[in-house]
Amino acid sequence: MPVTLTVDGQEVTVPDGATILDACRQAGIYIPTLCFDTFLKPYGACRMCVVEVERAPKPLSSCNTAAMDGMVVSTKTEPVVHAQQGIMEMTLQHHPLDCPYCDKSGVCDLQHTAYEVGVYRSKLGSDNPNEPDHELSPLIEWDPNRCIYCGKCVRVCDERVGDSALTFNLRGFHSYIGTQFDEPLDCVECGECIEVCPVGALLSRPFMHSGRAWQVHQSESVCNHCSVGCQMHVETRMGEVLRTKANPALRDQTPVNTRDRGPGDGMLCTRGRFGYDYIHDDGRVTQPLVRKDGQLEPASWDEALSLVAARIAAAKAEDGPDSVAAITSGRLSDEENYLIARLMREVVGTNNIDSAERWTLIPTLHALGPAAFDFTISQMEQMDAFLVVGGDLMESHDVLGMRMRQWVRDEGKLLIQAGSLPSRQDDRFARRVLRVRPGAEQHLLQGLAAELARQSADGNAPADLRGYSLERAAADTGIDAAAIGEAAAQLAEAGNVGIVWGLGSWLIGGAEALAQAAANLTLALPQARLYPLANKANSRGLAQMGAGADILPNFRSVDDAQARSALGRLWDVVLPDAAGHTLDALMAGADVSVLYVIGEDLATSARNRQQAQALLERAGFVVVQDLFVNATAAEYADVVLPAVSFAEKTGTFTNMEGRAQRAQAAIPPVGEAKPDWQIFTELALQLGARWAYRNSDSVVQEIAAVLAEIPVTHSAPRFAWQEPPALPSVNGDGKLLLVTQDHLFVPGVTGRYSGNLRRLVEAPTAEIHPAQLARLGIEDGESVGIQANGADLTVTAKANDKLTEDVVYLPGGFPDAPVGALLGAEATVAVSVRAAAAEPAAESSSAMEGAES
Amino acid sequence: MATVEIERIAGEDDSGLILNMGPQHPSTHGVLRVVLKMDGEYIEEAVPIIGYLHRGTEKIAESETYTQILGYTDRMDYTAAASSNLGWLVAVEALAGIEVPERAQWLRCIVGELGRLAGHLVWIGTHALDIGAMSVFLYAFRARERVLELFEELCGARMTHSVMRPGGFLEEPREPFYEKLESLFDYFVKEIDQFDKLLSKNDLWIGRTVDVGVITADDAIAMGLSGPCLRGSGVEWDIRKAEPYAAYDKVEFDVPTGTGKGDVYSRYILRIEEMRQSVRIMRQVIEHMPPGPVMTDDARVGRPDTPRLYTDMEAMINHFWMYIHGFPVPRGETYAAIEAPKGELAFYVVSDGSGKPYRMHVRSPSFVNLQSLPYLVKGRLLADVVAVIGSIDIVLGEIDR
Repeated sequence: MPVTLTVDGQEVTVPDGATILDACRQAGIYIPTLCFDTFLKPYGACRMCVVEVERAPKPLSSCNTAAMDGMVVSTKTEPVVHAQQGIMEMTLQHHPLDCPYCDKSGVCDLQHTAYEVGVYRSKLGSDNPNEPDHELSPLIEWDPNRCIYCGKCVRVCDERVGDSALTFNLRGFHSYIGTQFDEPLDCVECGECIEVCPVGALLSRPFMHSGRAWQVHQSESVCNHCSVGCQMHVETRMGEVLRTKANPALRDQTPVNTRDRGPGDGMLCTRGRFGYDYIHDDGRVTQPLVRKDGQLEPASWDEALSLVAARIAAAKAEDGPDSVAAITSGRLSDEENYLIARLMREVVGTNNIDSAERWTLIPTLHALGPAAFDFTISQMEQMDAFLVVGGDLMESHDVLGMRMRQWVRDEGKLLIQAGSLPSRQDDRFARRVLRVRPGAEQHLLQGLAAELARQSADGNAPADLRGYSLERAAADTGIDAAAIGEAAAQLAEAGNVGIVWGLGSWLIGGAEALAQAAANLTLALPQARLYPLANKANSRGLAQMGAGADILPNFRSVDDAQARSALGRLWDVVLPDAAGHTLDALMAGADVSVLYVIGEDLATSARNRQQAQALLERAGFVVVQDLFVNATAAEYADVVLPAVSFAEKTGTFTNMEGRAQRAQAAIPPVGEAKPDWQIFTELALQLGARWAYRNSDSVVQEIAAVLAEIPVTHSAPRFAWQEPPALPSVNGDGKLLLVTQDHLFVPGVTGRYSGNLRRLVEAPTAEIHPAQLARLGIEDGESVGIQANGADLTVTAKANDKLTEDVVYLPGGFPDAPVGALLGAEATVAVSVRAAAAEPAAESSSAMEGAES
Repeated sequence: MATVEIERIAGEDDSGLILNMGPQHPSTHGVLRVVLKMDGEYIEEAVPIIGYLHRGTEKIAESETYTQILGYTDRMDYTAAASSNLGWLVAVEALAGIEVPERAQWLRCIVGELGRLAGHLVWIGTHALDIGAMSVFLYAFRARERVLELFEELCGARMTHSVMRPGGFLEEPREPFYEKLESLFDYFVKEIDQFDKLLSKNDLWIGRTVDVGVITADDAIAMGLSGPCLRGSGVEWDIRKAEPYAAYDKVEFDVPTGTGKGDVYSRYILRIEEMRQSVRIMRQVIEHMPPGPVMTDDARVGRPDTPRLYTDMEAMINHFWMYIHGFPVPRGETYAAIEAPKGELAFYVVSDGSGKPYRMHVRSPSFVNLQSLPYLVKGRLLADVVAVIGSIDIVLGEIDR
């Protein structure tokens, strides 16, 4: 029932439940506010928003007073203005005269409100305590003097982020913002508190004093660190990225703002807000490098590109087109993935185009079909229960994790967290935590499916599902059978379950089996929906652009003759019909003369690093196209082509939902680097193609035509019973099971160069249960060696009593501790762990057994 | 554009001599380029080509606050920056509804007339030099130096001073300004008389200017000419009288129309008289100027006193917000004109309600007046071109903007 009221003589109709403030803003009447934020619950702390309401004994705060039918509201009367000015004067009495050097100056809510309410002359004088600044964390600074105690930071951390890390300490004049009892800040460091601070009290330390609000230029962009696709603004000045921040349009304080707030709901996480500084890292490669006498020497673009073109042409002529292979990455935009796929298929004439998505997203796609990637986050929001499997969303898809916390907390939804590592949702948000043994996530899903199929009265579920059982699942996963049974009952009760899993590093080796198990679970739980979350910013786009050895645009198969000929007609070429070498096939020993590695650091981040290194050794000519001279480039590249970050090029990125979002170029390329699409185009021209792309827009137009020509063919997911594999056991052989997952602060091959994020985690650690540490004779903080598959990593041991005793957790993404080296071909790896001081290699395991006994 | 025009006057048979004058010619007063089609020593056709000093002022204005734009207006007619400033402020104040204190209105007459004096002194110096009277140039620039010293006394800057602000003046002129100004009135009159004596009855001068570049009153009106170019043809039109701004309705002055023949001499002699009127206006202002503040007390627009900025949070916080975002000007549009030394200078401003104009357009007198050049020199001798350009009194900063 809409409500009609009168505001300043103007009749306004607002939906039921709207506040007076909503009604005023809908009518276009300015009401000053300081503590109000459309994203937060009304608080009524600052009292700036007072209005007079007829028959009310005193002015009311409009932000938390419901609008009622027939209300007569006045907003500009003398008592109202007097009250607002009085409040502002008292607020300013304690505010320091910092405008000349405060970062917030110019975008400051306090400045704006003071100007609008009209206080121009101090009556109370200035009385500022002049307290020293306080470092809340390496990234967040709190200036107590500027704080106006609106509580927005406390509330955003509580209501939106869910960490509740900030609080008001003490009371009255002594009150200050800080952590509970001044403990060290323990949160995801997302910096939402900085974003909502109306004054310059909470500041981004990396950004501090680097640019004034009126000097910076803002470009619309999309966060590039994961596949949520949060919309953001890149702030630049004179060709330098100063910081990134959430798109302010999404946070616009109009209450009846019906604008879609984007996948991130106007939020950013640690990576998005602080992980930009790699763009101007000193290590950026700013001109092409060509290996001469074993050394990478600077070269001109002409020289480098013609060398690459000549080598590709020679390989093609001598060994056939299939001797050329390209490895692309989900970090590249849609346009670029489309172009490299086109370059390989049309110009080179091979399907040898693949990426690390081969290990996660593509097997999931094979198991579930493209329909599984056709969902929206707002649809996910409608689910009544969530079963999150595997890696912690707060590490891999942080903003989605925060949003899930809101759904769980505000709407009482069920969250079951099932994984082999403790997650940030465990303590306060997950109603049930199922700690599975490493690699046993699929066993858990199969067990749940079996149990639900057994229970279902109508017996519609396929009989195959009953081939497995609760008891076997309990044995395989290491979880109490009763707990699984109760979880199954909870899921059955909710019915409407979202089965969510991130396609991150934890899944490598088991992606297809897990997807299959999840699909099987939906057989027993028909209302459940699957949410496989792509990992990198454009992982899904990469697949949709057909940048895979066996996929064409719109996820069509290379074997699909109709799609192939349609695409061939558009490109005016006969496309190769033989499936290309997948990344696995390449690593397993396929012959390659020219290997073109784009945006991927095969030598450190690949699973099964030994094979990856062998591949790089074997390839006659290696081209690396990246922002940095990473290990692949330094050791194996014959030519390094400098590419650019998201901030230096315009391109679209398709997020996990399939929403293609454009990132606008914010600065010109650093040094002589070029956008990847431009490099591909120039290379194609050198190889004799007749491409005429002038900018990424012209590529987008072509992509649109291609996607329209070969539409997605939806095939139903295939349901197949698969006997869950046996898992390695580590009972008493001195070994531990290796678990890895993406680390929030080390997001992959670009983010690892972000000094801001690396300030939060200086060195990689191997986390082990303290009891196990004691058993192994290792001190907390001691350096340990971890061995498996012929690799030996040295990292610092860290006790973590939330882990199960038989695992060692080593986060992914650190170049100085490449987990990929330990991962073989299997999904679960047993590693031997010993103190680094102890003797290495073969004897170590027996030595450790000796120590144990 | 320029090429098309040149091809047009060259004709299909390419007969006749095409002579290029400028844009680096000392007698084209800046970077004006005139392409002339000659028949012997006679001009068949002349095409002024402009744009060599285009800086995109109107476009830039859309991203600057109303106060910041003031600095761009200085660079339009830089010989009389005060007039450009005043024109802008009259428009902004009309649109924003800003009340300017009485004293500031009177003071604006002084600044406006000093600007006119400076502009006309540059004109007489260069105009005389173009025609061959070297010494006038030296005397005129010496006198102009006194005017610039007055500006320096007023605000520290000499040419591009932006001393006026929306709402009045930044601050009351410091002490010796009024005394120094008063002490120079007699000197200015003496100097003006000297130009008169050097040129007005000079045979050479008369020969070069009388009946040269004639335009009738009707033609001048039809072409939209204004200022001395219009008054030289006998039309008594002065915006200071027609639509008074500042305090011009409270002072007495005459609107000279020269000989009324619309030739170079008429425009010359009336400008000489205008300088005398300027001094007359300033004398009256000094006499009648009321005491009081020179800046509006509307704190949303006015700048707080400097000492308060360092001690008073309210003053500082407002100062920052106002200077960063500009004071909001109500949604609407306005056209406001003033009598600049060169004619009707007007600003058309559209506001979208923010602190920066949505659109700003300048109707600059030099731009319109220059359009009469082809008409004035047609059939005349080549040497007359410089006399006519000087008498139109253009400044390219204002034409190209």
